[in-house]
Amino acid sequence: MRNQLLNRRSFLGESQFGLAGIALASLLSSEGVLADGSVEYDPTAPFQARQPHFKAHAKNVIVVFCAGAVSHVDFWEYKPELVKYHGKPLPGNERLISFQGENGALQKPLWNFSAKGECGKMLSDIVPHIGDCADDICFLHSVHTKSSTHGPGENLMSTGFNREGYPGMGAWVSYGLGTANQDLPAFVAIEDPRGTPQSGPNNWSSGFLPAAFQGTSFSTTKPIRYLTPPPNNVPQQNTRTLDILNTLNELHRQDFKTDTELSARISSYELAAKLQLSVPDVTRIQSEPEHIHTLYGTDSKNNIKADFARNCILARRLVEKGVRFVQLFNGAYASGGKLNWDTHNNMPELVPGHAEALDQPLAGLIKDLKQRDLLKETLVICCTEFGRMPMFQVGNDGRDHNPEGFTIWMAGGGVKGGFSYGATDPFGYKAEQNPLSVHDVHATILHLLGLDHTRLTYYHNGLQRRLTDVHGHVIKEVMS
Amino acid sequence: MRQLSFAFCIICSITGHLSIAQAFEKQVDFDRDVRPILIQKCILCHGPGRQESGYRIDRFKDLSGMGDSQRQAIVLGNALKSHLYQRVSSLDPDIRMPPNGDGLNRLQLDTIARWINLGAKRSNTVVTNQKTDHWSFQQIRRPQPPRPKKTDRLINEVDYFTQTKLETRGLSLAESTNANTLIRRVYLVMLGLQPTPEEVTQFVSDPSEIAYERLIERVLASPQYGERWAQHWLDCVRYAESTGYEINRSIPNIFPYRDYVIRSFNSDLPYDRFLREQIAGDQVEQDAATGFLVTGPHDTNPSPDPRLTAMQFQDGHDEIIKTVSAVTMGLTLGCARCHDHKFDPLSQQDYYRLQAIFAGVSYGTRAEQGPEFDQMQQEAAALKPNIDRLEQVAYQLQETNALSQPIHPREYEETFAPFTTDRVRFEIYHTNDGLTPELDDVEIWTVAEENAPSINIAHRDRGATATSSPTAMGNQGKSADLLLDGSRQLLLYYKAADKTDVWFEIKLARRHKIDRITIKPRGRAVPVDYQIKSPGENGEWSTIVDSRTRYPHISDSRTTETMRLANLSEEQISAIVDNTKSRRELAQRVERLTRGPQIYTGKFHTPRDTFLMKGGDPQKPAELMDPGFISVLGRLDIDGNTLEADRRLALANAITDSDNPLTARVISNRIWQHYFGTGIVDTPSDFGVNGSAPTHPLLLDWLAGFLIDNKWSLKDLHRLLLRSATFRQTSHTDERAFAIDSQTRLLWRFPPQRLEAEVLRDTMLRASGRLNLRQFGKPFKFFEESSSQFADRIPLKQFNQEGWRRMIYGEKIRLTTVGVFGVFDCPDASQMTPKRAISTSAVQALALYNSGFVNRHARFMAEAVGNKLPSDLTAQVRTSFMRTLSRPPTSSELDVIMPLIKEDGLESLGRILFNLNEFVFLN
Repeated sequence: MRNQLLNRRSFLGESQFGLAGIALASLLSSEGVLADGSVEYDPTAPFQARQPHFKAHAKNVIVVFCAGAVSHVDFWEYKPELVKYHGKPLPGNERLISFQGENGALQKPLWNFSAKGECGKMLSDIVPHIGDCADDICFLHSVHTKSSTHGPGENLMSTGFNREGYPGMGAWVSYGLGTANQDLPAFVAIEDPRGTPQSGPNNWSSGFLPAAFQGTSFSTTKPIRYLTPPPNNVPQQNTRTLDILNTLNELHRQDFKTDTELSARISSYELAAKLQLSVPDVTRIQSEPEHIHTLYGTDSKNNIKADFARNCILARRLVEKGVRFVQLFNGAYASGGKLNWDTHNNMPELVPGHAEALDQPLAGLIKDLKQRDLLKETLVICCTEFGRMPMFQVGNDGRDHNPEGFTIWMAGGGVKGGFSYGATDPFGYKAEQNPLSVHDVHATILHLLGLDHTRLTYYHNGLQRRLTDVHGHVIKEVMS
Repeated sequence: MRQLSFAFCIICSITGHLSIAQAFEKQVDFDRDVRPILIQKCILCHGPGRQESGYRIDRFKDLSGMGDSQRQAIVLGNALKSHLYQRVSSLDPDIRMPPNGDGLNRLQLDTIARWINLGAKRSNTVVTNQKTDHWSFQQIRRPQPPRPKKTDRLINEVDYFTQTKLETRGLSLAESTNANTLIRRVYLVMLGLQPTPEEVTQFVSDPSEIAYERLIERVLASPQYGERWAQHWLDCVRYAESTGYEINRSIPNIFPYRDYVIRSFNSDLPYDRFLREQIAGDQVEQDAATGFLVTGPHDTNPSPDPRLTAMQFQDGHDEIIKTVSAVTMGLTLGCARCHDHKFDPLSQQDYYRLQAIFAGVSYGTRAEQGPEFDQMQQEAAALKPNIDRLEQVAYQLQETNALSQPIHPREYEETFAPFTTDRVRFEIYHTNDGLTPELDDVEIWTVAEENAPSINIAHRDRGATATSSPTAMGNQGKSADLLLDGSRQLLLYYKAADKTDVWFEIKLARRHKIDRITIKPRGRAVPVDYQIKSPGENGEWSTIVDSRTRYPHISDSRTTETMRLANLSEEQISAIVDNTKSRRELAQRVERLTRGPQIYTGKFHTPRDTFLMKGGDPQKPAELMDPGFISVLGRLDIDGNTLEADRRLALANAITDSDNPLTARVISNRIWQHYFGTGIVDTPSDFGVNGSAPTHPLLLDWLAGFLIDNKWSLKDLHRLLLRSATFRQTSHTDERAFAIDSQTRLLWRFPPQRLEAEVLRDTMLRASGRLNLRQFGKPFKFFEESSSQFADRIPLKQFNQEGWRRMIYGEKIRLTTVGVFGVFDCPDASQMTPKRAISTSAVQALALYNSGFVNRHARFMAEAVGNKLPSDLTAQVRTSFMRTLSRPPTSSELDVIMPLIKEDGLESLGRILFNLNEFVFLN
């Protein structure tokens, strides 16, 4: 494919000023004006890789976000008492009113649990492939969150605030660290082909950080917008036009030689040209060998699974090429539990389809990273916005939202494998042993990347803001 | 300890002697002489924290005013008549202040007396600590413009300040820019649009001062001025036309607020009135103005969980408090929701006092008062007799056809002869509105007997169970068991899956003697054609209730074809259907008229009690809070008994009091920022300790004073700034100045600025000739209509005349990014954006270079220019430059361009021009 935008001359090369130096020179810094944030970076090259605060365990992150809320008691956290007290009311909360209303009796896990891996972790048999990876996984069973609605719950999990307009985890990380590959975005959001999650782009928003740090959304099925020229343009025409654009911009710049924003705009067309080459290349997962496709399950008759498997392969290809942060969605928006994990009713029928779609592709991702020796520097996180109740709802075979306790798990990137931390109460309702806030999880993720969550800040409306608000403790116990 | 105190006394007496010496030489200085005494002796009991006897000394107004004693604390020129002096100098220990410890010594008494006798000259307010000491809480000073050394380029007072500041760094204002750049700058700053080629040509041919004055008046009188400056205001309040959060429901009737803001700027509504109307406009027939209060995102997801509902209330009011405090006064009061502000003198009490002001406000619609409302009420009244007439006909039809009373859409009873059974079956054939049937509850009552009152035995706690035809598979459970839970629940109720063959059957724990059934529909999808059956004592199923003996309810929309009534002919049914339909339509019309024109500008009701929430946790209410003001700024004469609207009015008046040190400074700074890219204070909605310090503090105060003196006229402020040499400087860089002040904060040139998303789009449309300047009204769409409220919003690919209106009229949907221009740091209205981030990314380059929108408008421009000047290629290029860059091309530019045009056509020039730095930047 011919590069249609790439410029023949490098205008930046002519600059007589050290651009980075200029950007940081500020008369007023000595007069008490606060810098916008704690990270110093060159605005003409915002994604240039930067040093972490201290030695990092992980270089890259893949967050698999199971939108709609996965039932921790059916999948990850084994609760013998829940089996024993099946059909009885939850002691002390006999008539609990939660998000949708009244809860009924305790409901044992819908599928059997059995010991997995050498560590003997009890996991649900409905995710056998993930079970195979048990020795690589670190379970956090005592996470709790602030909201029992999906939107705010997703916001908190992705941005640290249940309100809207705060930067996503990936935006903070690319602001803090930049990225290794300048030809691809630092932060990629891969949406579920079935649709956008409940909070939509707020999950990968740059919030009040410069828009450059916003997640770029594309997948194997959804291209980057405006990546290709309008249909009636021939390549030579594109190149000619760009040459003249650059020439005119250069003439204009003569009176504004110190202005880095103008140079940055000129070079942004070069970056755009690189994207035009690199994005189609990285999304071309057909080029992967047969055994890789089999490992992830792209050949599945379950279309949702096959699509998710392709996106898992894409996630691996992205981190392999140095993309810093990938947020990969499994599940879309509210739909009666059909397009995402929000199963208030009919769980026995709805959940197996979701489980099948998640299981092999996600396990395939972990195994593939491991066989490429990438797992040790890639932190894989499987999260969701909150848990589900250990009871069925009244008059229903589904579980209501449970913000009081749920499970997130991590693999690779410096966390202990075959390890579990924290627990909910014996029935799986409330986080009880070593309760963890979402901020603790975020602090830990940043720590694994070599970032101190209290030092990664950006000024906005009165405060030096952080991903972790004013909270968060690094969970030292889970580090290998 | 003793030694220390002794040492302290010596120092005191030494400084005391010095003060005496000074006192005879000069006048008493408040800051130097009086203030320390007040801080030492009085502040603990009469400061911002406590105000014993209602007297407070940390604001000048209060210091000289009256406490509970109702006696003037300071009578100017007469210390002996001043209550303050009387109390501190009294020899009666019960009267003397301070009540405990040492009183004022002779020197201190003398200082106070002399200060009062000499006129009690005010200076800065008394301050108590680092927080209240902060510059922005001090009275606005009225400085004289300074005298710089170099004056040849200066035009007005603004320049005296900027030039003086520049000289402290060895810099100076730059020369004026050329006429092309100047007129383009004036248009972009003031209107967000470039001038037409004709306007440019005219101004360039005569760039005199008179012509410039005319230009200033032209842009200030332009209807597009209000649109441009409304956009800045809407950024601050994060105006949007959807609620945000997961429901993100469209708000189709909030646009009157947007229009109110545009009209207010255009009519130069005095800024203090503009603020008062936005907080309490309902009191002066400006209903649209209070949209201000409810523009924040809010979670409308209904839930029966009281914890969630409490959190939603607190979050919703947090948005209101943040809007009001940050937008009007540059205070980040939101930080005090969980604890006292870490940096500013804002307490958690302040936060909840403001919450109490708004405790009667909720998100929603209300009627807009005015001629339209009055007209609608008259129409409704005129229709009333018709309703009565139709009711009379309905009554007669019911009587003559021997039908019983209609059902009630929320709750009614079916009664029948007592019999004994253990099961009851409902068969439903039709609902009032044709939707699939829904019901909240069904109660079956036993026959009351001695010692055994009637009870509902159709309850799951009494062992009843239910089976049914298939039920709906919504997001929530809708099974028939929910008929037996004995309660109405928001989301958990019975709903059938189908419209035909619908039945449910209730099985009782054992046989009961029953004689009535209570049915609780949900107001919608009400079963109106049904039979209730039961196997009686002999086990044979029989019909015990048949709805067809009832006269139809007014909401019953069945037709003559679908309406079934016992023993009535088609003709008789037709008459009933006609009457029901007429009554319903008329009733709906009257209801709509009575409601009046509904706009989304907040609902007002009796305020609920407000509690301080410990740690901001809605589950931890602490003390009851009265409404009030931020204590460092003063007190309001209101309490928990004050009516809702009066609370808001009191707040609005306090915010716009010309003594408020923040309001005029904050708006002057916002205006300044939209000229020079950066405010004098770089944190425009944070004037607190953590905000940035003003680069030109005296100038800011001078501007604020100018605004107040000119009756808060923003257009007067604009005239001042537009006339200044500071505004008219060249934007070209200067390496020497740049080395000293790289961010151009001292304004040694006019700082170039990347255009906002809206300006980029609007100027492109104007250049292509497609801009539609129609103002106001319903927004145009950026996204396709969506079937599900949750589904993805698909961006529209093509726009027409309607979609070529200015971007401020585009529907603003939260949690979305508008195609092409959204990536130019266009906020999605989740957060207040008093200052837009400016970033540069490859995604922006792709959007401007490749998008259909930009290329289409490049073609439109080429067509328009080509049609006007069919044969002259050079003239076409020239006009294209004038339309986009407001200047003709240079000869070296022509040399580069002409070969391209000859090969690829004029259209490719448009693509280049729209992508140029010069087009994308304000220079």
